[in-house]
Amino acid sequence: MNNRSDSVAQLGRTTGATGRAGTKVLGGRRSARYVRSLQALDGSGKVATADVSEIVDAVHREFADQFCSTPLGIVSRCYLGAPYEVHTLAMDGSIISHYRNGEPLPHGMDRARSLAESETYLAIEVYPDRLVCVRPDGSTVLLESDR
Amino acid sequence: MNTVHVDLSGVEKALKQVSRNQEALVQQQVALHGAVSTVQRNQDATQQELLGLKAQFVEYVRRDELRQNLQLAQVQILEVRGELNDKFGKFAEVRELATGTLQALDAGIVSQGAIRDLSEELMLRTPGYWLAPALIAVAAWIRDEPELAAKAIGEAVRRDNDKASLFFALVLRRHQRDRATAAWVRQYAARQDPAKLSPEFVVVLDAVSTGTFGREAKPMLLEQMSEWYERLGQDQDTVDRQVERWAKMIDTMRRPVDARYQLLPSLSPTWPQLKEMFEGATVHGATEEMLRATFDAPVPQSHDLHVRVDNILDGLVRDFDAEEAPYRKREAWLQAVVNADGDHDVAKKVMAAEDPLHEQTVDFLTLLSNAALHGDRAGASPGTQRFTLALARDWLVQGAGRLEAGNLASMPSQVELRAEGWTGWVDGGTDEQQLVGSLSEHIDRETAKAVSEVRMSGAAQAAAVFGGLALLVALLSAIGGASGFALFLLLVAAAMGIWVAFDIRALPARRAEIRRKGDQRRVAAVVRLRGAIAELVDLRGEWQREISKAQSLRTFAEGLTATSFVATAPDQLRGA
Repeated sequence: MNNRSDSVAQLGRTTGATGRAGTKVLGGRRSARYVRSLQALDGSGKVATADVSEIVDAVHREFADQFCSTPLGIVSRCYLGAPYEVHTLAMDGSIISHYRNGEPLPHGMDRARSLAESETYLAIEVYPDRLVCVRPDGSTVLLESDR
Repeated sequence: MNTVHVDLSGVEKALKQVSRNQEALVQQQVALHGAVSTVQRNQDATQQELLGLKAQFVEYVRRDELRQNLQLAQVQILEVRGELNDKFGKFAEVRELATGTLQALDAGIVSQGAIRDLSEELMLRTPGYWLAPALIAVAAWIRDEPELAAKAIGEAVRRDNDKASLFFALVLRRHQRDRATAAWVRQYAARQDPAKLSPEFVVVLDAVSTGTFGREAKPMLLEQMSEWYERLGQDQDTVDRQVERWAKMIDTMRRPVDARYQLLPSLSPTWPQLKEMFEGATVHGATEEMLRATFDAPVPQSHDLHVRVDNILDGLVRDFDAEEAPYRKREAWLQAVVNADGDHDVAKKVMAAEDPLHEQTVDFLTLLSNAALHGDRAGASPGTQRFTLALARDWLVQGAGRLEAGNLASMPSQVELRAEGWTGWVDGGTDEQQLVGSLSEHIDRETAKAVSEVRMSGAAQAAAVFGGLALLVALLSAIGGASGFALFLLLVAAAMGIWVAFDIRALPARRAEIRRKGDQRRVAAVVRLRGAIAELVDLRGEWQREISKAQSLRTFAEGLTATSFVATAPDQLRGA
């Protein structure tokens, strides 16, 4: 656990420095293709593994094309219904995990949880030093994580 | 065998008396119980009244403090204005002379000598003030004395290069000398550092957005400003500062929660969070109203070029003198206190939000925010405010978005309710009936416990034991032949027995009383709980309505485009 948080903190420092210049792009509007991928994630209870990697590819493409850094993970509202609340897409392992009420999220993604539960946002991208809330129309709100 | 005759009539009488006394005692006991309950009720009521009184007192002290703050601010604001007048009043004369001279020359009814005399006199009376030599230059120019004009221009530019340049640019524009205007503007703009603009740059914005600068100067300035806008927009820190400022400003537009919410505040320890969340959600609607009011209001725009230039000149000579800035800042603070009805906390928040308004130099983006946020207080005309609001819309949208996200994240996962020593939680899956049932059960449990605790008093228990013992000893004594003693003990045992019997007879009445009270308590508590839940549902509905206005604010703000708010000069209109 300690190792994990150390590595997250370190990542925060390294991308924090290079990330400053990239923040403007980070706050830009997300493409329709990316939004469609995120929407596909909503119903991911039924999505096969091949489709999941397709979604992850789409996410990676989005960030490689336009943005300087890739999120640690993406948190969004889970449509499986109770007791599941949110699910996460971790960018490293490309795994979708579903979390129940009160179950903590790993990789520092817990800070995005209350936002992910809101219907206002399609998904929350979690970066080491900030959160980006993506609305269903692709527009974004950039939040410093010391919020 | 001796026969002992005992007359028991006396004993019977005594026993009857004892029994009557016991009955009376039971009645007194019930009455006493009632009286104790009444005292308890009175005590509760007194405590409530005391609490109410305390709240009223605190409220009174607060009101008194606010009143004093308000009065003090009202007095001090007059003092500051007086000081401004004493120290800078002579500047006012020069300022009045500025547009006065130009207009008098238009009308051609004031002699050139009079203008010269007056401007020269003011030059002597206001040492160091840039406007005095500028006016001498204008007067000399009109009299066609190029040598004096050049000297005076040199002096004005030496005293305040930027303001003098703008002044001459505007005066020349007034006479439609567009090329000369452009020359002044060009050298003015070339000197500016977009990271350190002085507040009078608002005049340039004003002149651009009202279309006052001529054909050459306007596109040049628009190009320069859009280059600055792009360049500074790349610097995330500068942009972040703007977003932060807009968020702060939007957050000052909170509307208080309705006073009809009474039960929820008193029952829920989560209330402060709920209140904060609701009030935080109201800012989006309020901001949209403010924006719509700004954009719907008519922009007074004269078709006469002279009037437009004079308005801007007036602003230039009036609003931006650095020596006055500390007084103006103090005046703004006192005005904020007066506006907040004496509430220093509110005034401080307002001042913090408009802090950059009082800085000596600001970057271009901050200057745009100043003009957009504070309009005339930043020296911007309504037209300029629209123009800058449209330029600042992305920061506004981001700032509102941050507030919205913060508000959504602040939603408590469950709401705590407390009543009568019971605690319950409301979350997404809570059923009102379950909560009511739980509260009822809690109170019933407490009542049942109180009922079960009603038993014989300690004295009666002791009496029962002693009575039993007395009976036993009486039997033993009777067997032993001590009949007199046995009889005595028998009487004692009988008396004790009667006492115990009456004590036991009083128990059901006491239990019934406790049950009745318990029922009353339960009914009242359930009514309060249902009321609080209803208020929670109402509040949530209202909150949802308010927070959903964020979308409408965003749509409105994103629809603003800056170029549609740039007016055309009257002399450049088609057919002009």
